[in-house]
Amino acid sequence: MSFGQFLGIAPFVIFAVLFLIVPTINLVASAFFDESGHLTFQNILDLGQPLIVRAYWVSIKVSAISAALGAAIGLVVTLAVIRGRLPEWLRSSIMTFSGVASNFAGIPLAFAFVATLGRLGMITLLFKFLGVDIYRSGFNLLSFWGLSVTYLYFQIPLMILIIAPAVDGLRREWSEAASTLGATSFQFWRYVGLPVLWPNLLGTLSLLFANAFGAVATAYALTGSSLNIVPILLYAQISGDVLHSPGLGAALALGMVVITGFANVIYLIVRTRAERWLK
Amino acid sequence: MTRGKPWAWLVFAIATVYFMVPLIATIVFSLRIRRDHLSLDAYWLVLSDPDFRATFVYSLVVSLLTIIVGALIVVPAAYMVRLRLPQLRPLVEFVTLLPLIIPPLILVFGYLRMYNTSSWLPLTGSTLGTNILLILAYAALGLPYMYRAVDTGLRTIDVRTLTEAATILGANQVTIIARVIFPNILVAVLSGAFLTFAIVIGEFTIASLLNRPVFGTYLQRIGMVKSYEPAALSVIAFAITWAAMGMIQLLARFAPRTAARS
Amino acid sequence: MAEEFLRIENVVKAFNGNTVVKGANLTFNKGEFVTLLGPSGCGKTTILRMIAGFERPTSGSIVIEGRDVTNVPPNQRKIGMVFQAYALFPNMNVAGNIGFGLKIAGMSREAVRARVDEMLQLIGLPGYGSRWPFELSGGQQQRVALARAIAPSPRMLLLDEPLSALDAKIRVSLREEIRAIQRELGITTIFVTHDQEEALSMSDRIVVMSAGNVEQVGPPFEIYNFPKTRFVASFVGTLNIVNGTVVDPASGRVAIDGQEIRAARGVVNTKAGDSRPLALRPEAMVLNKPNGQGNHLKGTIEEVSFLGAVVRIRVRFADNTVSIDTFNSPNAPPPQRGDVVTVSFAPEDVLMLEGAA
Repeated sequence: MSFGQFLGIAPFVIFAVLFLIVPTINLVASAFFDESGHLTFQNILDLGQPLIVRAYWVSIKVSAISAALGAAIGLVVTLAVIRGRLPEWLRSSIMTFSGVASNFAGIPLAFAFVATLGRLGMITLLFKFLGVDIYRSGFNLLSFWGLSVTYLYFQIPLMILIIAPAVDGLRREWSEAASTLGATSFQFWRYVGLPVLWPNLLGTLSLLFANAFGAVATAYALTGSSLNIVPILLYAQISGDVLHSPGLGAALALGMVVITGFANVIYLIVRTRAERWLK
Repeated sequence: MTRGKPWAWLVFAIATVYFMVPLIATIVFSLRIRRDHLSLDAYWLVLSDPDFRATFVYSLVVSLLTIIVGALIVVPAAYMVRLRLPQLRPLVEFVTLLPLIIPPLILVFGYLRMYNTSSWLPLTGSTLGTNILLILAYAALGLPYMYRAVDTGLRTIDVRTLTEAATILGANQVTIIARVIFPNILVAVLSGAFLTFAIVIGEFTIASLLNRPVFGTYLQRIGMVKSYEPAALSVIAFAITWAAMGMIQLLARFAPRTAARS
Repeated sequence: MAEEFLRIENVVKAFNGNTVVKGANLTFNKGEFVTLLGPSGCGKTTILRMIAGFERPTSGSIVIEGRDVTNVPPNQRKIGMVFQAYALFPNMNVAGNIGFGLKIAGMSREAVRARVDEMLQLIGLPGYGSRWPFELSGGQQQRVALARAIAPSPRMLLLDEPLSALDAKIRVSLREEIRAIQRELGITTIFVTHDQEEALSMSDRIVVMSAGNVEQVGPPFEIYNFPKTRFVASFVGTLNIVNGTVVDPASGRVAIDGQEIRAARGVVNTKAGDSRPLALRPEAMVLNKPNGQGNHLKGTIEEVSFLGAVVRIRVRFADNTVSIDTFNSPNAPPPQRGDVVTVSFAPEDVLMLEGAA
């Protein structure tokens, strides 16, 4: 490697090491050390507290539901746009909107949903006007289901953005060939379409799960600290040491990284294998 | 058949409802600050709030610096990988995926532990240091998008052939990068820039834990005490994001293109 | 006795106001190999897709074995199709692909396996059943695609430019294979291509199309030697076209750049003084034999191209040029640029075409 090449790649490498790799490793490694610097598993064991276990469980549920629903709905919409032969301009508008909506996550999204489904939200009032009090019937925006519905607002567009190229890759000739060989539409999807898409679907599902699991801002703005999910717990721990144990904070972070990392690795593996097929 | 199938239109209609209703509801909500009539007062209140201006300008400046830092890191690296060090490509691409794998919360937690006042690089000990940390964190968040934009731009203009042509005509390395490559990937860099801007302007988690007065923390503060202003802010935020995305689409039309060698 | 298998009646197809097929009337006989030949956009693929059922005719009907199938969906027409881009299902291996139509039809697993093996033998890839599409070369993939289309014993085979994506050498060997398989099975086949060499070498009959119209239908020999229109003459094979002025229609005398010759074919509907194009095949002319019967034109050699077995010589007479193909001979080196030569040809080799020069 010549000096010039080294110079070109050096900022990138230094940045990656100092501000991506090392801080993260440093953090998760510190879960294995106590305050005096001795190796310990106590922090990991402390994760077994009921409060924390509940937090992980709720996080997993919210992430799984918003990922599954987001993936299913996103897939249906993408199929409608691409294979349902909707006009071309519609497709590009949807893609642009999906790009915007998937970035809209966070505080503004929470505000928007409060304005929509909060106690004084427009839709809540609309339903009240029609005689239905959704809050009386048990719905609450600041709850598990409210959060999931809010998360869908960026999960569905994210699904659309990621799965669209794969659906594009379902060449029209395949369905035409299947047709000449006697297959109905249903048979095409069962034997060719879904099997080909399956790796991508699984991978994107993983990605959506990781995305929801790590999201903080939306939840924070919606529920304050009232909903017990892992990111909120960790946030509170970082800013105020509510758990009275820095090591435990690191352990929480470790748990989070393991879960999101695992989900992302699935996504990466599955995506490379899928690319090999669609050569 | 260019007409769409009926089920597709139905799906599209339902999706449109789900996505439009919160936006419309937010807009309507934001206009209802005066009990008896619709008015834009919520917007005026927000826009005239000195905190709004201060944090918005701060976020704007931070995003600008983030873009510059990001470009300085990404452009030479992408160029080197594409042209001279292709064997590093898998490694580099893995690195650009890291910010998507590591949640921002974890990232900032890691920064706080590693660069606090008792570490070898006590960035959190001063305002300037913390600002720098913030910019670097945002550069990390935007890294995947900036890299992908620049890499795609380099591929579209077939940078290898351009460099060879320029070299044969006598240009040296610096001239090539400055006068041949950079002007042609400017559009790609701008694309990545707008995406970075959209990410930075709405960011909350990192900034609040680093205690910096960004637009996102202002939003959160207002959300805790007011009802109608947050809705107005939400509409403003959405409009800004939409404008940024729109710019990217516009830029895509002006991107220079040469036929790539397969 | 030729038995009618497929009939296309007054079929018109328009997309968004653009008429792509302008009223086609064609019949195809059982067991025939017919090629639809023409440049891009002439409507040949559209006709094929209408036969397959992927496009509906704007008007007109498609009749297969006596039954009107215009409204029958593609998966019920019992037609096999091979695509330009192979279109093998990526999630199935070779055996899975070939057996797909059989599985859909409900055949038992053993019967499917037997038939798949039979097909693999037919296309010359025995034992390839467990390979995957991405492991195969282009030519191999296309052969598997052919086997897949034939396995369910369809009553007709449609091929949409199946060789266009392949290398030149593979193209030549594969087209012979396709023709051989088709002959062995006796299946009615419609082949679409823009390559006139493919069309000429493979077909029983050729349908030449241009801009939505059928220009001429006939066997290769007829299309090549007796083209009816200027388009057919110039599209099929290399052709020289020179501009002549009619001197005397009765005797067929025409003047080319001031020199008079006699044309024996196509001299109809014309009077003295008309400007008409004349077609001359490159192989029909000889150089420097000024004493024989027939036409002689004096010209200057402009360019000599050594193509290996053939030497192509371009000769100029004032405004017009012709390309002459002569066989290479080690004993007789080709003439030089600038030489003055005599070009000779029989009156029967000159075809006067319709339309102004």
